[in-house]
Amino acid sequence: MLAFNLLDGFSAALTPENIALALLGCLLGTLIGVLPGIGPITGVAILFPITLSLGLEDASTLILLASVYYGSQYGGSTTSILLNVPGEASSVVTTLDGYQMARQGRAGQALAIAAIGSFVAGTGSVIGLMAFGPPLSEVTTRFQSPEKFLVVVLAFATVSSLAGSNIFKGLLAVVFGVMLSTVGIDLQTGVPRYTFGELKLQEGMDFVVIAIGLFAVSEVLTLLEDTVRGEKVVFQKAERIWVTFREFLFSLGAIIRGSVIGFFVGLLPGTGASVAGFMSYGLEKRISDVDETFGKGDIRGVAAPESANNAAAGGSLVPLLTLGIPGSGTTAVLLGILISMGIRPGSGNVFSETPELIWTLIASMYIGNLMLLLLNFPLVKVFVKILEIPPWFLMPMILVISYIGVYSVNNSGLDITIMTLFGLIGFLLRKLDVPLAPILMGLILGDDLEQNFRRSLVASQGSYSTFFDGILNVALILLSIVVLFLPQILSRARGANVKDEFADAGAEV
Amino acid sequence: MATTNPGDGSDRTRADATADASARQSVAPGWSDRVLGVVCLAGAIWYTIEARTFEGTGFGTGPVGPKTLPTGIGVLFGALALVLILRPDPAPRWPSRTAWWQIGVVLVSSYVYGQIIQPVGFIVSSAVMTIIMGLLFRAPARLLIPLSFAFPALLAYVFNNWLELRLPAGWWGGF
Repeated sequence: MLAFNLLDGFSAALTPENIALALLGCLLGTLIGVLPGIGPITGVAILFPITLSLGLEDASTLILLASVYYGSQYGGSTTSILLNVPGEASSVVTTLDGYQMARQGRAGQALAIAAIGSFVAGTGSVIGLMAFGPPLSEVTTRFQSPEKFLVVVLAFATVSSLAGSNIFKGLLAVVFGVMLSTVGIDLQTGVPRYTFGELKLQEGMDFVVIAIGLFAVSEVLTLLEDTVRGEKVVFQKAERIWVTFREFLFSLGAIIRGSVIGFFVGLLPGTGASVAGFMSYGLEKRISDVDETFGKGDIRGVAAPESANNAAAGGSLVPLLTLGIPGSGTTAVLLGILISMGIRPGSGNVFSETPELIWTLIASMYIGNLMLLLLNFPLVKVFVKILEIPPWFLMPMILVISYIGVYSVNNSGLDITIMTLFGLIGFLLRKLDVPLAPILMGLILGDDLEQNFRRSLVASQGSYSTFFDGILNVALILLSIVVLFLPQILSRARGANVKDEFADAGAEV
Repeated sequence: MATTNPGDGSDRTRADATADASARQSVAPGWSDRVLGVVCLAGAIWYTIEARTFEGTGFGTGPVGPKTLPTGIGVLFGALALVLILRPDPAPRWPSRTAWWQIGVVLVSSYVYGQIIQPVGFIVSSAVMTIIMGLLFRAPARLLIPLSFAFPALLAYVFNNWLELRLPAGWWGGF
């Protein structure tokens, strides 16, 4: 039955139009991942309104955006290996051995093993998702308003804890996001809130506008600051862009171990792909580093974390699609997009209510994996060339494309003002180490939080004890508390030594 | 050229490495977080007072009206702001005066862009924005000016004709 649904997903995803969209998405995504200044979050946020203008069906929109997401992850690994510049937090650990390989002229092998590892991990995590997703989703159908409220609280705890060294800053960001979500007409009573009498604000804050401001504009400002400081990047040439069968076999153990660790780490809400990468690298080093080659360009040091972060991306779809808890900023944007399509994971069983869309999404991520594998080898050299586009042309273009994305949401100049304001806010908060993804989460889920809060209290006639009734509610509250502090404990216990090594390696480069 | 994802925490490793340096540079450690805390606290107070004025009338109000949740999160936001004031992190490395000036130029032109895009049109306003940005990023003027018009014109053509978007044409007309 489940396999049948996945096959349905594949048959929906494999129409010529959708394959073309997946190809386009992977290309655009890799481009976005490779280009400085736009990461996956920005890429998906900018492309979403533009995609809407194509008038595609929901499934096709999801395919395009999921491919962009996958492609940009891969593009991020490419710059980790070639430039020692991680495109995404999750590929930080790849720089350890990947960049060393590139310096030895083995960038091609590193890129190839990253793609192959990601593909194997992607396959594994689709199987895992089929096993864990539907049963977990079934549980959510029993949720009443108080449980739904607490699940949103859990999502907030998750996203604040994964975000940085200071939990309070993560929480501050989430609460700020919720505050933004209260702007506009109150749905139940029609009372305008925080609108300053501005008609446009009555519709509320659009998450796409905020996302582009927080991520794209603030990144342009950050890069401008770097330019003023006179920082520059040099990169190496890659020679052979493939691995031998022997090298593949040599890395296979690392790939499989990385995939398994990655998937289960991804399942835990709040740990995310970067923790998975660090953990699998640490484990692989302990198992395989007999000749002390790790950190000096060992291919397994690329294979393990790249498989792990890809598997974690797949694993994190389980909490995302069942409970509506995203594990990263990009999946938060994906959640916002799902919600705007009327799909609300966590508030019902999306696997049985909208199976076509969900299985098509899963199938398309898998197709994206395969496509990246086929696409990247011939194109790596092209992507590397793209890095030579001078910032004086690239930065204005990112801004202009952001303007198109923002403007096309409502055809309103006010949105550009809001975007600009949030660009400044994003720049300042980034400096102060306040994470930005939780703001987006608060904004996207704030309305859910409030509606379920109010419904719960209507049902209980105003008694707040309804949130503590029953074992499920207590479990959700306890889980929120654990999740909030878990990454801190984990990183202290396990990640500390790996990170020290990273700092050493970084100092040496 | 880092495209580090600020939503995730792993660029911390680099932050840790430079933490000492930035602590030495800053005038007073923690000063930056305290300012943020004060700004947030002021925001929280305003937000909470404002929340108390929302009165739901008649239907649909129930035991909790439109002011209950905003009041709660306003108070929570204030409490978190107090934590920042009392337990600040070391200050970051702030941009130089030149960088601030340039960031200001970008923000002001971006604001102006939003004001003029409808009357002036997408192509011309984007070209002006591109020229300003290009100069800040030290572009060679000979290439910059033609490219600044060509690229937005190309985008406008693609979006208006192939993607069914309506970018404003403005006084000069467009595609």
